[in-house]
Amino acid sequence: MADRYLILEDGSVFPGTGFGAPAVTFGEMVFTTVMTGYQEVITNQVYHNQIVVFTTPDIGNYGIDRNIYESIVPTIKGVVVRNIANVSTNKQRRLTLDRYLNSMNIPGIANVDTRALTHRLRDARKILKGSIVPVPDEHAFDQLQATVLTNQQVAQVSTPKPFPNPDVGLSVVVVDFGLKNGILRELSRRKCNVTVLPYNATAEEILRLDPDGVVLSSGPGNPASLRASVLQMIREVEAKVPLFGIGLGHELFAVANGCSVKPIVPEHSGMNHPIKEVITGHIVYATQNQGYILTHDAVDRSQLYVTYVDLLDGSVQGLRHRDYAAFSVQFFPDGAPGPDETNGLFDEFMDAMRVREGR
Amino acid sequence: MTEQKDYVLIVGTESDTLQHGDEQDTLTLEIAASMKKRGFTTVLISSNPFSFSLDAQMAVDHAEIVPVTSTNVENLIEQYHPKYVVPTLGGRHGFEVMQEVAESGVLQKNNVELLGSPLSTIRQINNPVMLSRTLHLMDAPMKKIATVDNYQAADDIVSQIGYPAIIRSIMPKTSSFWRIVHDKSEMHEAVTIGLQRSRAGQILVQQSLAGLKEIEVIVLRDASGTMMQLAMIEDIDPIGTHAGDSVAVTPTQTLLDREIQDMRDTAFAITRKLRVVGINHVQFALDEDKEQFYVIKNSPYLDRMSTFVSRATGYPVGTVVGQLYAGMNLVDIHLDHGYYRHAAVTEPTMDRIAVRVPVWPSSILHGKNRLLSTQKKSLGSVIGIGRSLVEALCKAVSFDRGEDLRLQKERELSEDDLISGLIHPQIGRFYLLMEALRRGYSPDELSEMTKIDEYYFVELRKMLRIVAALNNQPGDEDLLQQAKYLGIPDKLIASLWGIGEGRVAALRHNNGINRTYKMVEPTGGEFGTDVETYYSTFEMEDESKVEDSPSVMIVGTGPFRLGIGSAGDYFYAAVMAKLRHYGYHIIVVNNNPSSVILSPLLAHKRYIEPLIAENIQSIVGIEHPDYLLIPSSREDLIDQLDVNDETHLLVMPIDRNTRSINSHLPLYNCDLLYDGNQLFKLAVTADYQSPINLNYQATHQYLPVELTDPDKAQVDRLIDQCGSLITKPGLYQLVLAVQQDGTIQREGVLPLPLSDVAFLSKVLNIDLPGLYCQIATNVLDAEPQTKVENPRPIARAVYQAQFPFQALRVQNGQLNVKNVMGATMFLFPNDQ
Repeated sequence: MADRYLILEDGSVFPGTGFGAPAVTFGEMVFTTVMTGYQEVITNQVYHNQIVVFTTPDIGNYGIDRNIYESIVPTIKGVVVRNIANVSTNKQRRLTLDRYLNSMNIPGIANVDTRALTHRLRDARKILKGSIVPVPDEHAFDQLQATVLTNQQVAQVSTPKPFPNPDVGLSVVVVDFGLKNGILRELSRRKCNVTVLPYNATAEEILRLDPDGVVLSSGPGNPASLRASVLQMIREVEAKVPLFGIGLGHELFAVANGCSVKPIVPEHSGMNHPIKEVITGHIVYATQNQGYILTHDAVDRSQLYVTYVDLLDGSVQGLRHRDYAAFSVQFFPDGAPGPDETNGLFDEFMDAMRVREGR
Repeated sequence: MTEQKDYVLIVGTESDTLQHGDEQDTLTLEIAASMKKRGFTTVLISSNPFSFSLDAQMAVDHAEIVPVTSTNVENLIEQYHPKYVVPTLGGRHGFEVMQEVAESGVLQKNNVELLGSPLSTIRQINNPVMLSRTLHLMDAPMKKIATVDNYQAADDIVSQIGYPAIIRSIMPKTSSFWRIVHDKSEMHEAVTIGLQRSRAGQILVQQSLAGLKEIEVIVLRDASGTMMQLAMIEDIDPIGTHAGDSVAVTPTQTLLDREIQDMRDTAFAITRKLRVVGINHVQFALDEDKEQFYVIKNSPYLDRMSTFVSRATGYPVGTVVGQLYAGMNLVDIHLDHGYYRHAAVTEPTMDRIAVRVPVWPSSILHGKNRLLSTQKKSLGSVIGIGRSLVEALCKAVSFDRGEDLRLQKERELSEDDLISGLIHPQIGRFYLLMEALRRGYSPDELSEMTKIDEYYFVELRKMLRIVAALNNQPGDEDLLQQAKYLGIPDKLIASLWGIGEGRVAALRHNNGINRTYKMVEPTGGEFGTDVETYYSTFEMEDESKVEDSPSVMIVGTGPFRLGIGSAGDYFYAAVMAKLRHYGYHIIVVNNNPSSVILSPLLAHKRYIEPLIAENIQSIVGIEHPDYLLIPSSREDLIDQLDVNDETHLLVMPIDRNTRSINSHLPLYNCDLLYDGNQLFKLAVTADYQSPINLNYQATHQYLPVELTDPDKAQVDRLIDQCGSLITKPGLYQLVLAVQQDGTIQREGVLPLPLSDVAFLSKVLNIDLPGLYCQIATNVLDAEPQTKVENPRPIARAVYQAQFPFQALRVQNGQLNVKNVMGATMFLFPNDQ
């Protein structure tokens, strides 16, 4: 039955059936436990360089819908799942997941024992590299071992040039570290006049636009691999205008303010962990995608305080600056896919901008 | 001073002809046990003789076997002075009773608090008008409905809501009037008639939701306001078919994340508004074309879907809800062994598909009554768990007859009958859908006709293609592998290839196509949980670990059906409790999501699998149990299973009530126990005469029987005489008929029906299933048998079987043991 194989650097082989692009691919292996929104997951740039394993058994069931992309050019390296449905039953009925991945040159492999694979990834001591290949021979493993994945991920996914997303409300600059459309969607809902700037925009370039607030977007990879100038930009901007960091933006905000983050194995991608809002004790659920975590003892409490905590791994999920209208969350308050319960954070950001406006 | 424990009164189920009562027993057991463990003294009120919870000392301190009526609940409140009442385990009936109790003032007077649902919520659930007002106030999307008194106004409303619309008379003069209209002329006629028929000259014009997707969101909430989504369930059948008659699947298969999150938000908002603690079910109609959804039902109590979700996700619903009722919050709950910290507050995620397939009483549903509608027709259900939709469906629909998937019967249908069957859904429709696909109807055509999402047909077609290929290439090993990977049972392959099932199994083994077992746990493999519930598939990794300790494996009785109900589960549950007590490791295989025997409180290890030889054999092969218990109705299994010498096969007593003795002469039933040496008389019961059939049979009986001294002597003599007919240890019933001349004669000797075992155990206060197990296995230490020497009923008792005919609208149903669905028992204390 097998016509394609997923091989891991620890030597394991998972046979399966190919779909999407018939190409060989290499990437870091991560699994996600989300049960909804495969299209949003696949098009989220946070998975740049990664081969994503869906623990939910079925994807592709309604095809590809034009309104729910999280990026236009997905940068995921491969998709692993138990079953792929070759249909398009959404309103437009135009595109199947298989054809979409093929046209985006993203390989996939189905009929894989994804539960066994998840156990393997969970119990490994490091993030394993993997490859989807037609033949799992020595050559394929040699290639996999020799593969070096770039650590300049943000540079690869960020927009090279500024672009606007005009509306009639408050002016917001979004710094693109691997932008997820959900952030733009939420700002559009709130009528924000958005300018998206490349990840290496300087504070001067940002402030020249006189924004009411700045959003640091989510994105892939290790915050430490970004140049120190990004941290400098954050420190300058947070002192002047309201700032909201999400995902990688949260990690950068933390590092810029004296914290350190560390990698976690396995990476966490899901939407079912209880997250506690520290001030109220309220539990919320939100989509999380993180390869790095901030622990409590790594928080510089002279500058920051903790607003959200993941009850399962104890990681810091939210921070707020003591002196400035600057805050950040590790999870995705824009959902897509995932619960909307933390969507109000965008309203808090709006409030912070309006307060400044009124001043 | 000793610490006074708080009492909690649990309002249990009335016996219910559509099985709601039996579906609640497992959650009743788990919630009561959980509360007892947290220090409460538990009182359970129920009149269902098949309830295991009533007998379970691990959960219930005081079993009150009385009908669930407001008077009885009030009396018990006065008697026990409970601090709390749990109203959420008795279904809608429980809510109605609680409202009456509250209105009597007895709650206030005794300072009793309701757990789970506040009184205001109970009132709203009991009164749809109040509930819809609340939902409107909070802007929850509801279907549009308006009252009008002329045609023009009706036309205006319909132009807003669109066709089809429903026209209904308000306060109809004679019979009620209700019609679905699809265009202007139909509406004109319906409005005219509707207005004429209404005493008020008014009609309701309402939006029809028929054909939309039906979705259920199950929310768990604690007293601090923390809410989580336990599951979202998609009905494959559209609105128009009762949710209980629909094939339900979780996780949802065809919904966009956006739709899912919007419904989740609304479900959370309603649950918060109604201040539910514990489980709330919110049902939606989803209109994907209009990107709109409507709230159609809200049930803040435990029901059949609560247990289905518990089985499907591996999240221990009963245990957690019990702790919430005991005042804990979700973040503070620590689950026992097997779960990691904060598992109770982690939303379940699944790496498998679970389906719930209804089981209909097809023997009593004929003609028009086979059509599915908004009136529930199914009595039980099966759960199928697999790694794909098709695998899960195959497991559920082939729960006892794998070869039906060959569609032999459906092939003979005319095109017209087939199309009519597709458009007007009827029981067993799954096979019709398959047949239509086989005949070449395309998924989008079928979707148009049935309003079932095209996705499901595309998936089912995968299976039909394999079946067709199997048919063309007998013996092909690659195909065999593909077929097994999809979930196709050996029995179907054997039938297609014209060989025995054993040959197919051998072919599988020779080609290394082996079953592997995966854990049903709630984290999708993210955490190393240790929930000992498994299902099978054909993949690489096998997670089932075998314990070294002496073990007993139990094959369940499957879905609740006519003639058995849950008496089989009662029997097994009691046997399991006994065996657990003796230190056996208990392994259970069953496919009835509501069955109490799948509760972790009873079974150490659980397999949720079809009860067919292929699957049972595979489990026997890994577990090598010391004892294998099989229901006697499963001769097929007993014949087919290949069990090694170390395993003792034990056939459990008759589980399908087949007693055919009924008579126009009065009958006595002498219930007997034979332990291999001695025959013990347990009780003599007498049958009431049926006012309809004017005969006597065991569907309605009482004890004790007052016999005259000569009659008693006759009975005793007949019992002694039948000793020679009984050779194997077990429970028996000697049926006697009183002849017209007053003499008493033997009608027959049969194994004691399980329904009678359940009833007698409660009346005599003897654990008869446990005793049976002891004498039948002949391995357990002998218990002192003093109780059996001279058993005495705890009260005058009446047993009355329940039939589903009225609920199913079946005319002239046969009131005999074969059609029994449940039962009620009444106790009249001896001093009254």
